[in-house]
Amino acid sequence: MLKLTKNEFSILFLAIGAGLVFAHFERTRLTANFAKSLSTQTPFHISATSDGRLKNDIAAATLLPGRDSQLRKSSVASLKARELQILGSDGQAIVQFAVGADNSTGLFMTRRKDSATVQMGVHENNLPFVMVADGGVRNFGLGRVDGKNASPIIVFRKNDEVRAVFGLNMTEKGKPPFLVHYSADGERHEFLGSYCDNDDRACTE
Amino acid sequence: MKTLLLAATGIILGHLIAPHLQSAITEAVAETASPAILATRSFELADSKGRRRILIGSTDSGSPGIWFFDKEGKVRLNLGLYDDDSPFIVLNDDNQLAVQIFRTLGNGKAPVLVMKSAGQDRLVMGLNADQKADPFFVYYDANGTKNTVFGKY
Repeated sequence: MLKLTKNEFSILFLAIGAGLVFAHFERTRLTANFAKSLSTQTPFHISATSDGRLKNDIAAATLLPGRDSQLRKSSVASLKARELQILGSDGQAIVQFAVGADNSTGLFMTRRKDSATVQMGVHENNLPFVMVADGGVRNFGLGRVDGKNASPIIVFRKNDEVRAVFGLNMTEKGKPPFLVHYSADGERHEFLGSYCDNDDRACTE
Repeated sequence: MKTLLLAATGIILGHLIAPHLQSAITEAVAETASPAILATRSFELADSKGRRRILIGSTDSGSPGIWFFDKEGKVRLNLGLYDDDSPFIVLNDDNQLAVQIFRTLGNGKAPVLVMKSAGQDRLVMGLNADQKADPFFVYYDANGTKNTVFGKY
């Protein structure tokens, strides 16, 4: 049996304490990285998974809350937190209110297996957005405020390609309305007004 | 040498113990303090500087809503129910003026999308609130002149 002096016991306890503190900070860092990953959940990347089940059934595309009479409740007058998660029955977050590492804020709703998502919030540049999308964010409807005019626009994208955009012009004085759409072969149709669709943001700034 | 070994062993032990300790604490807290439903009158999400960035709550008249604030504390996104129980989603500019509104309207609860500039309607589309619920699409130029693309509004 190892015999330790009083001083050696002290050192051992101090070291165990240091290990606990280190583990705690490591866990905090992991949480911070998770929060950071939220803020990078901006559109236009990751793989696609299209969910077309609601395609012909728009009327059914609303949900009612689940029955909760069997669940234990607790009431408080008000709550303040850095993050709020609503968990599914499997313990995974299905709704999350969070602040990203870049100071954007958002509400994220995700179906299990990441097959669909609803996101809304305020980007780091203070511009708000609302989006319904597939899990890969390659197919979506997006309402946002954008450009130097802080113009409202709506974008419909399929398989990561813009198919329709309309709103108020993002750069021109007077903000004339526009509506453009693109056929499957990429041909552009200006139904109303004009819209600059350069990939860079020269058309919005 | 013995001191160093003890210190190293202690750190490793602490690191190994921590997850179990945390898990035990979390489970205990979950068991005693974390109900399946947490009811509250309002919820605030604060950023790292303590600024309110999201508020879930209700208006003075009792309508539920969610408000998103920008870093300057201005409301930039708001969704919820109006006092007549019509649902809405509103995106604001940096003067907190609505620029994009998606809502239902009228007794028929017709869906309408409105785009605004400086408080003035510039583009309105949706379904009419009458029984026919015919679609319409109108826009206004900078002088306020109305232009109809289709339908009646």
